Amino acid sequence: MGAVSRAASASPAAVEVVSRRRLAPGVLGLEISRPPGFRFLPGQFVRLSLGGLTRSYTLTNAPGDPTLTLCIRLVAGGRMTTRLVEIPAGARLSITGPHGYFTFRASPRRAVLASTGTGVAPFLAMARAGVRAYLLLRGVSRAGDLHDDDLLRSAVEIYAPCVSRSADKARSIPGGHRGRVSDYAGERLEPGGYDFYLCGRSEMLGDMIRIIDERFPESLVYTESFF
Amino acid sequence: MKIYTRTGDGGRTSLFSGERVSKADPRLEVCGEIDELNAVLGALAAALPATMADQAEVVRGAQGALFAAGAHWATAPGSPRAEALKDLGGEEAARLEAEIDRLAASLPPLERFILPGGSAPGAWAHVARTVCRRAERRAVALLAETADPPPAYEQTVVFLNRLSDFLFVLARAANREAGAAETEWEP
Repeated sequence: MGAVSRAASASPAAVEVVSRRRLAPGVLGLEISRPPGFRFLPGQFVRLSLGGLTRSYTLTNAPGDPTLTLCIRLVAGGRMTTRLVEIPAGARLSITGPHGYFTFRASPRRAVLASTGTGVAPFLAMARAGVRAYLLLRGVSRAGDLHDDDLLRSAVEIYAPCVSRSADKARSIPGGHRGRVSDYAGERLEPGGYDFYLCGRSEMLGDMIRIIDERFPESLVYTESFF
Repeated sequence: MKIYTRTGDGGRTSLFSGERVSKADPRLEVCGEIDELNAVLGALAAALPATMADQAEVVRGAQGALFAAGAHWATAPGSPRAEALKDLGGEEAARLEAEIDRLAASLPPLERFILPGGSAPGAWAHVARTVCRRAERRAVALLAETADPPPAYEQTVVFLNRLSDFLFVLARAANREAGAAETEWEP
């Protein structure tokens, strides 16, 4: 039996920073070189190591892109954040991966994507890979966190940014809602069986799964919880 | 980070393949048995003396293999999600066979039943063996009920059968290492 822990992807690969840019006040997009032969599925993540610290970050580029991009949630005072916000092009890092199973599977059922914060990262990779879903419930604290709006809007039939704070701005966004993603799912999503892809805070996952069990019991549920 | 989400409070949980199922689902039963076996193997590996580091490594290899096996039993047969899983070959079972042969060659032949016990590591190996047999029984039952089962089901059953044999000879070897006499059963 081939144990998962012995997968070849566990050996680190050296990479270099190509560029970095602020996607939103609390979100950094980091572009790194692509190790030879590196292949991944949209929705997977890498473990990135820098100066003795290691963190997991989701890949957001399309599978065929020449470089890799990562979506990084900035943590105030965080040790890795402090290093990454000022990291220069050419800096050397190492990654392992790809890791994870939060990947998209085509199905006859409609796909409902739901995220909070940088939990939207796997959906960016899926959108760039050509995935088309029915609905994206995108939870953010503030309207200013809604980076890559156009890309996501083009990948779904219904794009529903759900802004839990700054209620006035939520109303100014096309399709924007005030409140949490689970409020939308509980009140507006029509009955039926869906493929739910949930990524983000464990509280959102818990709220969504309770609603799914109650209102959409014929559905499939795939989850990725990272904080 | 909170480790509780309360999503299982209604007695339901998600399979790897996305289905929401009862926690009494037979697949969850097999997964739970494999999980329990894995935990007991951890206790066994921790109890083995430093002189049996090679055997502890075999035990840890089996723990990894059980994780891989458990993922298959947590996936509905026929689901496209199964493609994401590592194929369970026969390498781990073959590795156990080699270790069984090696250990057994150094032990006196058994002519009567022995009481499970002896030293702490020997006793843990016997506990692990019985938990392994229970996991095997549950897996065999679900294998028999499953139309067109995935190859991983049968491979798991073979692996569990071999693992329990390994644990029996490991118990004897651990007791010999500790100087604990084997107590024969007097009918």
